[in-house]
Amino acid sequence: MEIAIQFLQLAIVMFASPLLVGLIRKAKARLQARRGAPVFQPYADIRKLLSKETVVSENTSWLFRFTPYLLATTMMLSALIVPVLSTRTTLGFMGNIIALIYLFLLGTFFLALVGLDAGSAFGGMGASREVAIAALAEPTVLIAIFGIALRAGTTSLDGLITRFAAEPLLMLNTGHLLAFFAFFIVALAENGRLPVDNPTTHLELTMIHEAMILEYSGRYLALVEWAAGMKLFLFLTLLSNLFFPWGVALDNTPVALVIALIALAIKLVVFVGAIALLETSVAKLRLFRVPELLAGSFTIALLAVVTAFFLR
Amino acid sequence: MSAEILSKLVNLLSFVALGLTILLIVRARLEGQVRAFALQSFVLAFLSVLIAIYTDSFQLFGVGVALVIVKVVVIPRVLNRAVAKIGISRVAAPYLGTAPALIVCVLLAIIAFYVMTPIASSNPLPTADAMPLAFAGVLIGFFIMVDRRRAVTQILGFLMLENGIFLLALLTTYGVPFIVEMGVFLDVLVAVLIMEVFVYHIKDNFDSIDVGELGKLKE
Repeated sequence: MEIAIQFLQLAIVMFASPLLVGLIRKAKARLQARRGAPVFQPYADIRKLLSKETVVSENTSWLFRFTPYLLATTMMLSALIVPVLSTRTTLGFMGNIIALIYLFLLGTFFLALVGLDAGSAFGGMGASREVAIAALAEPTVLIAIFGIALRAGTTSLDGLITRFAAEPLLMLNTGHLLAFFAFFIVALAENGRLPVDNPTTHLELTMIHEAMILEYSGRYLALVEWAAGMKLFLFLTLLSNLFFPWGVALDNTPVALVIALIALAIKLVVFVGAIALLETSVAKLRLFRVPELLAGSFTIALLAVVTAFFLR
Repeated sequence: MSAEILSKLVNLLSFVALGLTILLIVRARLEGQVRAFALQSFVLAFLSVLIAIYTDSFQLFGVGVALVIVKVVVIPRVLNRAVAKIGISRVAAPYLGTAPALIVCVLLAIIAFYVMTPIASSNPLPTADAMPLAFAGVLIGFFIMVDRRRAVTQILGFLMLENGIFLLALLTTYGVPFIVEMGVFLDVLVAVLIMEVFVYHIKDNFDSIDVGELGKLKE
């Protein structure tokens, strides 16, 4: 039973992530008074890319062909750890939230290597920017995590959610809210969303994430984009289930799981709306101002730890 | 309203006030900084009305209303007038950049927690938990006055320092008597008016509101 739920969660992450990407694009388009592509467009894109020819530069090494599979695998592995619907899963013991963050970073690391691998100018530029941002974002993520882990007394994701679900007045707890804001800003940076990186840009000079994957085509590109979608889905699921643990199934009854699925859908739609609104209203930051944004996020995370330590 | 909910709400609002103090460092535009101050004063007024309702204190309610009149309406208007008259002036770089200044703010907040937590824990009021936050606001207000070079930002730093002291009094003893608070408000108002005149003179003499220029000899 628990294994079945585990695979259900994996399937949700794998197959719903393009829909999430499509929803964000649609919501953004509507906010900008455009009609926008249908929400199922990312599925069509992936199918189209899978049937296209793959062109690989002869200057690239094995890393280039290996990385798309690594990206997809690490994301699927992460999907086994994140409590998407239920906190009682068989493989939840595999890793805690810190392991999860470093699984994400493993993908970032290999992507940066691939950016350098083909030897193109834009790829190298994208890799250097991505690594700079990742290096600034990583301490913030960890400190925000310590902020909530200190209060809950555990770093296990299941334990954190169980603990927060039992806490009354959770939304009035300052440490919790501070950690949420710090984590949210970093999630935007890690996923290459505005105001750090523009995911829809066509101008190579301003690209960060897109610049690293410029060389990819065909099924490799499909895998990379799909993995990016899964990463976004996992980050948003983590944000919604960790910080707003309402509706997450604490035991594996069918009713609880259905409620958890509906609650997750509602929370994700709210996040989609928030991201679309944010991306419509703010402009991309100049690259040299990104450290200021991340320093702000770091400040918030550090204050979260301080409050968790002093204000019970 | 139970003491527990009050305590959590007071913590949250004190944090918002502290966050607005820190926002003064992040915002580059003077209008935005003035707005941050007005918002912080409004949060404090809301907080004092909240505590007034909890303690059935009519005086505290009056303090809240006076706070809105003086610090949310009058002082921001005076400052906005000054900002409009100065026009868009050359942006003076602060002594510390944004990112290091933010780190200093956190360090000050940690010091405030370290110093004030023992004092707060000996205070039986449900609002006492947030005392370190108010003290952090005082320290960060000081820091802004030292670190920023533009005169208007320094005035705002002073005002936020004053807000921090008000908050500290509010949290420690449910506020000082109405008449004392009124005296402080009028003092602050007069101080702001005088400083506004100073700002004009600095602007006239040096064609900038960078107080770093004051150190230079000039004919």
